[in-house]
Formats: sequence, C-alpha cells, structure tokens
Amino acid sequence: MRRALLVCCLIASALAVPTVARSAAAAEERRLLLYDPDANLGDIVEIAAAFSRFLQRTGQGWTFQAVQQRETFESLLRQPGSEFAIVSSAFLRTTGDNALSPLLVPSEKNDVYYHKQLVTSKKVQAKSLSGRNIAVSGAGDEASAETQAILAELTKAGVSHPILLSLPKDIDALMALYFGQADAALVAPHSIEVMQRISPKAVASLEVLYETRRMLRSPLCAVGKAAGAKQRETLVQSLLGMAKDPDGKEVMRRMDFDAWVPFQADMLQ
Amino acid sequence: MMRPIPHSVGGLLLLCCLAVAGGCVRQALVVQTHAGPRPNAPVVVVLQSQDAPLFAAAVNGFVKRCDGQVTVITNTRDASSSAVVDAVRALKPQFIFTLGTPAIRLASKAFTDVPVLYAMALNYASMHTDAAPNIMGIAMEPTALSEFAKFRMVAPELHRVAVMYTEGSTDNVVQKAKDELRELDVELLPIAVPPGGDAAKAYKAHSGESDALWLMDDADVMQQFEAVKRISFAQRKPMLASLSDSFARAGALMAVSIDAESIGSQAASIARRVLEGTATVAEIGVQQPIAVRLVVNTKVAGMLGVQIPEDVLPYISEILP
Repeated sequence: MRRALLVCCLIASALAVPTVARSAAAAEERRLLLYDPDANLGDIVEIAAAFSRFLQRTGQGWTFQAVQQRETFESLLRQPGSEFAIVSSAFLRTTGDNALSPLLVPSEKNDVYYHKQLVTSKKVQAKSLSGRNIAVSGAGDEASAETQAILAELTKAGVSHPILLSLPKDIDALMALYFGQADAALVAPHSIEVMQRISPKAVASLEVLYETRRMLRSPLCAVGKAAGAKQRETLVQSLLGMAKDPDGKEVMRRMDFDAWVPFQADMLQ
Repeated sequence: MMRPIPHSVGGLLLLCCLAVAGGCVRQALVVQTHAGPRPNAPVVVVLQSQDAPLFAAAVNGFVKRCDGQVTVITNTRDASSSAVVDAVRALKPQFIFTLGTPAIRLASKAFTDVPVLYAMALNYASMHTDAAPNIMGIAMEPTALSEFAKFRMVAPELHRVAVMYTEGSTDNVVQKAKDELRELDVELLPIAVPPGGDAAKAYKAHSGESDALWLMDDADVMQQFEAVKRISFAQRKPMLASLSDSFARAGALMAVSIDAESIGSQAASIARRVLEGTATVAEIGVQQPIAVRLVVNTKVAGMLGVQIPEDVLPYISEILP
C-alpha cells in the first residue's frame, strides 16, 4: 500500500514539474506577431518558419506568429506578452496613435524609402485603363501607400474600375505585362533593370505613366503601449542583428529589405 | 474612386452533413461563405474537388480579389454528384470557379447557363475541345516563354538549351516552345527519345553544344530524372525543370511551377470582367497561368559554378541552401 502511494506521488511529481515549468514559460512568453492580410500564403508559411527559427536562436524567449485575420490579430495584440508586431504602414495609419507605434523600419541598401512606377506598353494611354488589369505585387493591396497613390492619379485621369491583379513579386507583375496578361504594372524601377537583362525588347516597349513619391518602406516593426522597456530592448537588439543569421537573412530576402533601422519621427515627413 | 475589393471576411462556416454511411453521418461537403463588398454583389461559387493546400492558396487569392459574395464548396469525401449540384444550385450562382478535374467535369455537365471558369485541371486541353460555350479556363502549364523568362533572370547567359522529348508524344510541345523562345534569343536543341527509350543515353550523345538541359513536362523523360541528372552533373551542365519544385530539391539548378495564389487572383479578375460584361466567355477562352514560382538550388549552383546575381535574390520564390 505504502509502495503504491509512493509510486503515485512520484508520478504526480513527475507530471507536476513540467507543468510548473510550462506555466513559468507561458508567463514569460514573448510573441512577435506579423499581420499581413494580403501576403501570399506560401510566402507566409516560409517566412513564419524562418522567423521562428531565427527568434529561437536568439535565446530570448521570443516566438513568432503570422496572422491573416484582422480580428484575430487585434485580439492577440491585447494579450500580455504580445505587444509587438510587424505590420504595414498602411495598417498603422488605420489604427490611429493609440494602438501601436513604430519601432524599426526596414531599409534596403541604406534607404528606408522606396518608390514605384506605373508602367505600360507605349501604345496604351492612361485613359484606356478603365476596367483593365493592373498587375501589382503581393504587398500592393488597396490599402498600401503606392497603390493608393497610383489609384488616385488614375482617378484624376478619368480611369474607373481598374482591376488589381495580385502577383508575388514586382518581376511577376512586369512579366504579366510583357505576356499581355495585364495592361499595366506597378513596380519598383529595379525590377525593370532586371527585366532589361531578360528581354531588352520587352523593356524597349515600356513607358512610365506615373511615378509615386518616395515613401517609407513597409512593414514596420511596431510596439504597443503596454510593452515593457526590457522586452522592447531585447527585441530591438535581436532584430538589428537579423542579417547575421541565415534564417533572419532569408526572412529579409523574402520581405525585400536588408536591414532594420530605428524609427525616427522625421522619417514620416 | 475604386470600389473596395473584398478581403477574406471571416465568413460563416456551415458544415453540411450530406452523406450518411454505415449509420454514421459524414461531412462530405464543406460550405464556407465570404461576405461580399456590398449587399447586391453577384453570387459566385467556388467548387473544389478536395481540400488541398494548392487549392486553398488559389481560393485565398480568389477571395481577396473577387468582387462578389463568394461561397466555397469543398467536396471533401466524395459526396454524390447530385448532392454537390444541389448545393451549388441552391445558391443561384452568377459565376462558378472550379478547382480540380472532377469539379470541372461535374460543373460542365450540370451547369450550362452559368459562366464556368476552371483551373488546376489536368488534361484541360482535351476537355476544352468539346467544351460548352459557357466554359472557360486557366491552363495548368505555364508557357515555355514564361518559364524561361524566370530561368534567364538567374542565368542571363543561357542561349543554347537542350531539351528531350518523347518521339510521337510531345513533339508539338517542343516545336511550340522552340518558336516561343526565339523571343528571348534562346535556341532550343531538341533531342528525340523513342518511347520507352533511354533518356540519359540520348542526352549523353547529344548534349555537346548546349549550355543547359531543360527538363520539360514529358512524363517518360521526367521519370528518368536521376539518370539524366548524373549525366548533367558529369558534364557540368545545369538542369532547368518544369512542373514541380521537387526537381530543384532533387538536384536541378532551378525549377518552376505554377503559383496557385496568383491563379486565384487571375480567376477573380476574369470573373469580374465577365460579370461586368467587359469580356465574354469566348474572349477569355483558355488563358495561361499568370505567374510561376521559381525555386533555385544554391548547392547545385555552387557545384556547377553558376553565379546567381545578387540583385535577383528578392525575386526568387524559394532559395534552397
């Protein structure tokens, strides 16, 4: 009887130790969220896997979670330990000042700004884009700054109901234009340089209809008000060293930037 | 100003228990509804043959860009044709988008008065020959031109590329590709392999003048991948593969495959144009898939001494270490 009791106690204590450990870990859990409703599903899966591996390697207890539903994202953001997120600048604009404030900005070749061009074939006039396909890359959803800017220009030119075709990368948007599956493409100038190497003939027939102003790169790493200073510091330090980690580098490649830089208010001007 | 285009809005998940087997109720059809952008948005049904990751990506792309009230019906456990047709008909759709061969086979028989667009259907070309006037589609295979545009992005020096084909089977595909690739200044060097013949031996005998080997969509040649790969490594010539990412994982330098989410976006654009009356079903016909994924194997690149331009890295869908 006594032996049976001892065995029971041992089993109970064996179960209890991990439970206590799990509770402690849960209490200290720090989660970085990614909210990108328009991301390509395949890309998101790969980004989430690489980001998780990178954060795990930093040893600071951070986990990573990608979310596509806004309601889910906002609910997660209210949970303790989930006050950090990577979101588009367009999303930040819609949440106002209270929810999240920018912490880090992505940069590419030491530039935190970018601009895009609306290109089309030389034969096409802006007006004829009504009801036609405009190829945009994954990040170019309706809410994104560059798409909004171009749609505003098109509206001024009398274009109504253009159809946005979502493609994974700017080069895909250009190729859709080249193969006649889109009537215009909204792309970064660099993708045109790459296209020039693939087919100089294709680029020779292109014309830039509009060019956006320089805009702050997106997505930003942002922080909620409830986040502690220590948490903030550990995440910032981890992300600033992201390019040195192979998985971190892969995430950056997929998200199209090569470094994080601290956000400064004058970057928005 | 443009109308807001709907995003995947939570949606109402209804599980319709339509099949009863051995006294147990089985969920055969899963019906998921996404709210439209406005009350009178057209009713659009997506009918998918099964619940598969590629189809899910296509549905995601479609729902994000579709201008209608989208209901996705998934035949998860072989519900009877009549049950599927009844479920679709009850919604009174103005447009049907099918994913998978069984779905288009069923829809093309059951619905002759609604525009039907298919995608992800094998042998679409043979089906389309006898298609009713309400049927249009997105092909399963990218064109050689779109595949090589991606290959050339990584290897701009590609000019003379060997390709093997099964005699009497894929001759016409090679000829078409040969014509298309002139646009990119790529000369295809076809190598005929008799049906059931040794592709590796044929390649070894004729690979001399080529810069690389294109493993095009030819089942007989593709199933000899390992043997052909050994020759290609021995001759230090990269392999460029069609159809599936798995060839890059197995040792090809690069592989292209369709991008399912883009196909969903492409389908949404077609739906909108047909529903708004700016394009007819006949004008749509069968379209090529709008984007291809490119996977590059950097280990193979290193072995073969292929330098991948640094500035194209962001445009590669997946880089294998």
